[in-house]
Parts: sequence; structure tokens; C-alpha cells
Amino acid sequence: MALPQKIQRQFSPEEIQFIAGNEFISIIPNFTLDKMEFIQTSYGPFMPPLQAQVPLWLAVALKKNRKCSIVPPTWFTKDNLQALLQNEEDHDEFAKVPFHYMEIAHMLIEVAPDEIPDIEHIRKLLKDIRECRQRKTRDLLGKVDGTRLELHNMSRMELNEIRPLFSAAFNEMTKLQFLDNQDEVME
Amino acid sequence: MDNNSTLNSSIHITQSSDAFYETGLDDEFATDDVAEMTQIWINERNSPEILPYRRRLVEDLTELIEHQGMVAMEGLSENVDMRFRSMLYQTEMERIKFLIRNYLRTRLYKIEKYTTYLLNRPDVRERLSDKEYEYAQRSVFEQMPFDFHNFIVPNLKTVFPGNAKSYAELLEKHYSKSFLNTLPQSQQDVNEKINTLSSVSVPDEYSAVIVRGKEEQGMFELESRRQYEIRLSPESIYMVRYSDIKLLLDEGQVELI
Repeated sequence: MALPQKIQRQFSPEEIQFIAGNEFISIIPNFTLDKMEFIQTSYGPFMPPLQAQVPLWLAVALKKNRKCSIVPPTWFTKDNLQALLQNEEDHDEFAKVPFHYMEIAHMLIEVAPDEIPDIEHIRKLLKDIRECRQRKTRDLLGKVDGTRLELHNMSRMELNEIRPLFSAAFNEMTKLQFLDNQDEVME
Repeated sequence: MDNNSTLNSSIHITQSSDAFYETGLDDEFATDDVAEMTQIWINERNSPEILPYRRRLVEDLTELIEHQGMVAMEGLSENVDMRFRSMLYQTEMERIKFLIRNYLRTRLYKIEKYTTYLLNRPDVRERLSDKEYEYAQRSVFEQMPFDFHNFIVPNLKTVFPGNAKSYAELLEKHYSKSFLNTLPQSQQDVNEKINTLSSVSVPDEYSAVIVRGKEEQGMFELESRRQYEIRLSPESIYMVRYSDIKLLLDEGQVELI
């Protein structure tokens, strides 16, 4: 089949990770190199100890070759994640998070664990934030009406996760509305 | 592109690459083809119907990949620095190739799923590339989408030996031979439509999609239910019926997520 069955209704987590690869992140290179002309645009020059802005995919490739250290984004610290969790718990709405926060966190923990202070604490906070947001997601399911559903501040990974269940529910509600309309016409 | 004269030196290649940018892409200058391709792919994956084929974008990117491939090849024979660069260029090329391949495969999936519908609707057929149109039409013994079809293919090969029939035509003949001819004349049409029930697979334009505005544009009334509005803004994400935002998607005012 042209498209494997498991990715016909939603993206795979790897594909979401792929999309997040376009997000920018700061690195400190340990090599000196002029600007590099990529297809999309040019990156560099690279001159330690100056920071350079590169897309995640490039940061990962460099880090895996031990060519740079990655500067974790400001939201990715123990204190800021703690504040985010607090905010998440205090409000019924989803707190504003970076659109790719899960993918970026996953990537940082995977390729640059040596550069993340308090990594265990951060892991725990990320898990708590995720669970708190999942609870809100469950409440959201009751609001599906087949017309429009607000999903503000949900991240790309979360949206992709709810897609199969929520769109199935949404489509059922749409069909019910059509039946309703037919009844009205008949009456 | 005049590459033969410049193949000897990577420095010259870099210069010709500048020239290439100036001559090849001036009408799309300052647009980010890779970012656009990424969004086009995401839109295609999420929309129930097949979207217009972006020939120019795919061709431009394919050309850019070929060109960059030569630059990367050159670098392999140079010093350590150049090999390092080449490795990174390759990584980017693989990413873009993945995008284009997945985009085309997503479209083939829809073509296989809605073959009859696509071929019967000139306005929808226009969205296909020439090759996609050919694919829908020509004999596709190997690409039958369902196990059921795999099962009948050997029989079809015996019925029409060496005959290049279109996928649609083969199916119609098969249905007719296997059971339709035993039905009353009035029920033999494979494209039969009774009220809302159709025997042809048609994309469900009311199905749910997740969408957000590309820019701040204020409120927008839903097509189907005027009393409902959505805010068009990069900060506002909704699940809505595809039919309600179809026009906005066409005009590039929203993107699917």
C-alpha cells in the first residue's frame, strides 16, 4: 500500500519528531567553519565560543559527531518547568507551551543528557506536566459537538495523539446533526 | 545548468550555485521552499480529499537536491572539513527527499482509494500530475490496494492476457462478470447512486481536521453554521469540518496540523 496503515489516520511519533527538526536551537560549536550553504538556507559561520542558531536536526547531527554543545532553551530548566506545572495545575485551560515542547525535550534528553542540569528532576516535571494536560484532554472529549472544538495551546504531539479518537467522535456528532436536520425538514 | 565546466573545483561549484539561485528561482525569490513543502505535506496528509499537485515546488526542490548532491559528492574527495560539510549536506538532502517521497505516497494512497471518483470528476482530475493521472488509469496489477483485489488479479490476467487495461476498467469488468450481470438491468451501474448512498468511494468532506490561521485575521463564520465563528490566528487551534475551511485552505489562509 502506498501509505502504511498505521500512518493513514495520524502521523507517527517519528514523523512529528521529524517536523520538530525544523525548530531552531542555540549551539556552541567546537569547530571553526564558514557559512554553510544548505538547500533551505545558510547556517553559520561557526566560531567558538560564539553561539550559533541552527535547526534541531542540524544540532542533533553535530552533537552526535561531538562537534557542539547544545544550549537548552530557557523554558527547559527546573525552575521554569516547575512554574509551568504550577500554572498548568492552577487553571482549567491548557497553559501556553512551546508548540514542539515534547519533541524538543525528548531530543535534548536523548542526545545531550550531559548538558542538562537536574535532568532527573526535569524528567519528573515533564511527566507531571504531560499527565496534567492529559487530564484536561479527557475533559475536552465531552465538548466535541461536530461543529468546532477549541484546542488552543495544545502542542503538535498532543494534537496528533488525540486525532484518531477525537476525529472519530467529531465525525459521529456531525452525522447525528445531519440526521437531526433531516428530521426537521420532514417535520 | 552549466556544470560540466565547473566540476573540477568545489569553489567553482559554489559560484555556479549562486548563479543557479539567481537564474532558476527569481520568480519565487525569498520564499522558503523547504518550509512550504513541509506544510504542503502536512496539509496533504490531513485533508480527506486530494489537494492540487504542487508541481513547481516538487520540481524546484528535486533540482536543488540534485545540485546539492553534486556539491556533496565533490566534498567527499576533499579535506576533512569538506567531508564534514558533505555529511551535513547529505543529512539535509535525506530530510527533503523524505518529505517529497511521503508527499507523493500520500497522494498515491488517495488515488488508489478514490480512483473511480477521481477519474469521473474533471475538476478533481485537474489536481493530479500527469503521472498520477496515468497511474490512476493504467493497468496496475501490482498496486491493487486491497487483499480482495490481490485475490482477483490472477483471474483478471487470464481474462485479459497482455492487455493494458486501466485499473478502473478492470474493476468494472470484473464486477460485471462476477455478479453485476446477474442483477436486474437497473442495478448494474457500478456508479449507482441511491439518495446519499453511493457505490463509489468518495472523500468525506465533512470529516474532522485540525486547523489554525497563518496570520491574525479576526473572526470567520463557518460555512455550514453561520452562528459559529472561529478566530483566524496562529494562536487559535480548532477541530472543524474540512468543508468549513476548505476555501481558506485553498487560499492559503489556514494550515492543517
